[in-house]
Amino acid sequence: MKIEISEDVVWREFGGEVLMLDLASQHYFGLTGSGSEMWQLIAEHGSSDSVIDCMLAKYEVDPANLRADFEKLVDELAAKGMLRVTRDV
Amino acid sequence: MSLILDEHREYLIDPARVSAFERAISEVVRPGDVVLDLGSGTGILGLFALKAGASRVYAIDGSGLTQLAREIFAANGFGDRAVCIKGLSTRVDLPEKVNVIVGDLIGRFGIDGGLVEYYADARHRMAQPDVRTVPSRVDLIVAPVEAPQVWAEVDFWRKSPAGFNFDRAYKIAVNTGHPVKYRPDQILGKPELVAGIDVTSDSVKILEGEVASIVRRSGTMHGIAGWFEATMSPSVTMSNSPLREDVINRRAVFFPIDRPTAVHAGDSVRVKMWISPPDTLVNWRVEVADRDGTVREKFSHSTFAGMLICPEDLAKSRPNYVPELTAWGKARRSVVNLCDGKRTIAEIEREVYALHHDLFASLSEASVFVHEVMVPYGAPG
Repeated sequence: MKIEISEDVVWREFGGEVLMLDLASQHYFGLTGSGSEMWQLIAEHGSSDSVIDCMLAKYEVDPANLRADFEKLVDELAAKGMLRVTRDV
Repeated sequence: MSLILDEHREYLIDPARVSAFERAISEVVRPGDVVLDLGSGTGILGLFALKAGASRVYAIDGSGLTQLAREIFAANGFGDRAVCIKGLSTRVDLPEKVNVIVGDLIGRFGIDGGLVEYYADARHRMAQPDVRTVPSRVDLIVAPVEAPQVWAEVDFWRKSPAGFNFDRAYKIAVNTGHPVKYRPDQILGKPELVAGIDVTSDSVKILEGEVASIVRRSGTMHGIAGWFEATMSPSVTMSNSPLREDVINRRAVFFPIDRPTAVHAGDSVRVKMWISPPDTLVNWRVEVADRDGTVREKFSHSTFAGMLICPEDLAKSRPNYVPELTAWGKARRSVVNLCDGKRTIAEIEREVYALHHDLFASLSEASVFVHEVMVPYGAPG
């Protein structure tokens, strides 16, 4: 799954937190903890497999749970228009 | 030396600015008009309005210049026609509706001096429906610029100053608009109007624009220059454009890009800007394309990434934050609660000192603290 951050989103990381501004809605959003890490990995790698591989290399967690959590986050952010998702066919 | 007074001296010794305002005000103000001067400073714009025949000027300023302005109006024979009010204009009410609003809240790029917010509020609350304004319109102009000196100041943070890693400060600097005075030859491409503010009707809103500037001479682009062109009256304009001979003495803005980029005559520099005036938030996206349209460089920057934000401050804005007052907050609450319309300020100072003696080394220190609260919030005595 290819994931891109929308052009309408500006964001920054500080203190382990990600703060985002959606220019389209003019709303601010914040991500902390694993959500913050996932966002930064999306920005860096742009694919779900890469993000999950990086997270699994760092944390001893159940891969199925991690993937479910990640996809939930991606779905929520995509629904807000902050991520563009291209699913593999 | 008073820095505020010095700033206003700078305004008055700028012939282009003084002349533009004098000519515009004499053209816009009609005999008998009631005029509002927003951010009046020493009162110079109000003096022009009175000279043009205004029956009354309301001069509002939040700084300590209010009394000086009163004295200057009186010294020039206008003491009975000028009403000087100390405060933030958005919190001031006038006894009558004005015909004209004047002010210099344009800043360096049209959106950084409070122009949109303060004029919109004044028009809605303090003005006649057919109010005239000086300025009436402000256009925001951008152009690719060669600016090695200010670029070096941005890049400074990546050069390990004092032998330490300051790279994080670079991220702030490269996402910030920097005040710069340009020479005309530094402007590499055709200036383009990226957004405009109609001061007579616009309310606070997002400004957006996308323009392509054609490069006129080859060079190294370090960023985007931004300045304003203000329509002051039907026949008077005022600008801090480096390309104008009658440029006012005010710096323009430099919006950096992440890498200095070689550009050639005929290249196209596309600039997309998104601006939120109330928080002076500016996003600038820049694409450099060859003559054939092939994009070879892309940059994206935002003052959002250039803000100095602390997580401890941000945490206090979260909806689930449950605030509690610090000892200083409690002392401030005491001051507010003691203002009951009966106690004198001396009594309040003594009571605050007694209630919070652990915070103040003396009654005098408590008095200063009480004064700090009373200056912005105490009703006139």
